[in-house]
Amino acid sequence: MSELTALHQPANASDFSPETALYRVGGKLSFIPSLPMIQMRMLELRKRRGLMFTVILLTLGLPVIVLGILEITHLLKPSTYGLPGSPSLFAHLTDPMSLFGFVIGATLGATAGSTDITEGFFRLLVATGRSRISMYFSRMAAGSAIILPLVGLGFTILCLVTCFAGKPQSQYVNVSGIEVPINLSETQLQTWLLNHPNQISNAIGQSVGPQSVGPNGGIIVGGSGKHVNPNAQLPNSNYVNPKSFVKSDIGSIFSGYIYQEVSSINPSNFEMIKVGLWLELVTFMGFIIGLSLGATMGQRTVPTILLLVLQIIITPILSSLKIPYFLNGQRMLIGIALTQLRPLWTLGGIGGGGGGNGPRVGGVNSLGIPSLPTWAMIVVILLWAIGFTLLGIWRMTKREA
Amino acid sequence: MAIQETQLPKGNASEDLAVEVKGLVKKFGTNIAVNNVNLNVPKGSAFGYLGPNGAGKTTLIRSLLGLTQANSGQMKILGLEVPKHRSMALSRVGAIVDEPRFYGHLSGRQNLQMLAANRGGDTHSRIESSLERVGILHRANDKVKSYSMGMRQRLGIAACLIADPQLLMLDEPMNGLDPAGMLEMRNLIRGFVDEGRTVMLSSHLLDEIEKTCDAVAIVDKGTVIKQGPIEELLRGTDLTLQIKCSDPPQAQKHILEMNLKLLDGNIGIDQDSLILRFIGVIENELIAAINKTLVESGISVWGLTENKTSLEEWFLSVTSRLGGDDR
Repeated sequence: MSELTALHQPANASDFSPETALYRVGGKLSFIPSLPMIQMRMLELRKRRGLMFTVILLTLGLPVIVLGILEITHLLKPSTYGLPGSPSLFAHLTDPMSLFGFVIGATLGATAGSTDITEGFFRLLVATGRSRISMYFSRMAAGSAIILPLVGLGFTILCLVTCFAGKPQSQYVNVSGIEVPINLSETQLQTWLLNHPNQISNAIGQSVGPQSVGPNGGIIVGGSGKHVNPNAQLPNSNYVNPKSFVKSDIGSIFSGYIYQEVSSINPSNFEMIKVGLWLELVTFMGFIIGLSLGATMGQRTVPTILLLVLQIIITPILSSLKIPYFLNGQRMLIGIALTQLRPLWTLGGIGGGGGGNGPRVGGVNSLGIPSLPTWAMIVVILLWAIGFTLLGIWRMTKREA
Repeated sequence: MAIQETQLPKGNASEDLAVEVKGLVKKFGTNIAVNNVNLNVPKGSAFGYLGPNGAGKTTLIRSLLGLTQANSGQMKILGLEVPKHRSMALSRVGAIVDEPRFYGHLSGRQNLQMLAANRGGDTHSRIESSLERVGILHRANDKVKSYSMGMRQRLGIAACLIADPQLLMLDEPMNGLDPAGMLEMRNLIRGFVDEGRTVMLSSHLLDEIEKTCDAVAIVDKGTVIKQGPIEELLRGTDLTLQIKCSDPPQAQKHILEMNLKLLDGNIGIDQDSLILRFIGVIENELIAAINKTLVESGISVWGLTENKTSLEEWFLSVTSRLGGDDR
């Protein structure tokens, strides 16, 4: 091997030394991306017109278009078409918004995770010496900074229309003929009912048929001549004691109460925030899973299709089908875990039955399988988020550029 | 940021090498792309890494840049071990690997901004001057997908320049350029060298390497066959003297009688010409003596043409492409 010597001495270029290199390298060794990295990644995503059009259409466009049409029809013919805002519309819109949020989050994530690879820019980025992990996190931050505000804005519009462009809100809901104040917890509802036994007696009477008032305020139920006696004990009595009835059936009564409340009363601010955060969570999960799969596979088509199939086909099947010995496997699905966390005032939150230790309402009821405790759902979601992020990072650091 | 001296890697600043590679091996399955390569690229030079397609040129550059992981061997860039101190070493390295590929939906300027954001520091401030230097400032706001191949090559060079590189690694930078573009690129590269930068140029275009580079390494089948300054490598190669004359057989007889040492019996007749092949350098006086001998012997000399061995001929003679013996 020939030994070569320097042919020219450096002239104008500044001298290089490890010390100056360390100075110049700045935060390159850090896993945390710099703000300009995130901004430029955002720019790269924003400049994809087709993608951005779809993202905006499915996040912001959906509530704007639906509510806009309702508002226009109302303005054109107020006698036929009422104000657009209503609790049922709120619930009906949050349902597709969650589905679209996941899907478009996955699409954006798969794009953010793969385009520099497919377009050959990845090697230029790697050749800068920047940590690949920080590059991965810059994609995560940039994509989140695009899609989460859009989802939030769309949902805010829905909330504003629901609150300010709907019918005046009643302070009571009708539960089996009883006018009950809104926004009561299960305990508060029980207390309120126990303080209004006559209304309960009337309600029970209405629900079981012909009645007459018996001794001590008890109610004779149906045509059999049984009496509802306030002091009687169920079930070994001809009388139904309203207090006992409330105490024993408070679960189903509360479900009915919530059903009526969700159907006829706007969600409180707190409930709206919960729904909004849940929508953001669903979208974010779709995004980070898509990002990871995009970075892992080096393309966006297959990850997007896979996540569409998972969310639209597999999850509904596995959430309604009880497979013996595989229940825990079913519960590990991200879609099922997210569904279990659904707050009230979303379409899936309405219904009866379900398991868990919490109120017998909410997302758990849209599942056909026994649910997990809330902490377990959160663990499942965290496992998906952390697991897929680690997978994406691992692939990115090992990828040949 | 205050840096303690103990944190600093021990740079090999005393060496005059921009790139130093020892025993580098890179395999793809059973295929050995880079086979025990030793390479020294001197600082402040234009260094050609010359080899046929598939010889492992790009793989070596990718290994140096950390785009792929080598199986074994040692590498140093600007005195810093890589991949151990890769981030620091690459802070003053600009590189184009294969064809330069950018985001087509972004403008040239935005692509550079993205790279500058990754590099950090003051690289952003050099974007405009880099674009201007490679002559595409007027198209900087156009989307890259509207750029010609030549413009993309220039943008690739601009992407290198934003790092104020001490070392540029250019993989096939002449690809897709027309003759005028190649000349411009050559001048650009020479300009970098004149500024004291080191340019490592990988190419299969021998002519361009010969015109652009000071030193060269010949690589084939993943192995560096020879390396050194071009003049030094070509010294000792053949030189051919073609003599057009009235009587080539008679001329051949007279020249053999001269008993020239460097000729070593390499003499032949081609139509109306006598062909003399010398080994090494011959002096002008020798050519004059040959001419005088022939003229004094009554042979009319119509022309004397000296043909030096080009890098291309030398390359073909040292690589397995010649004769195709093992392909």
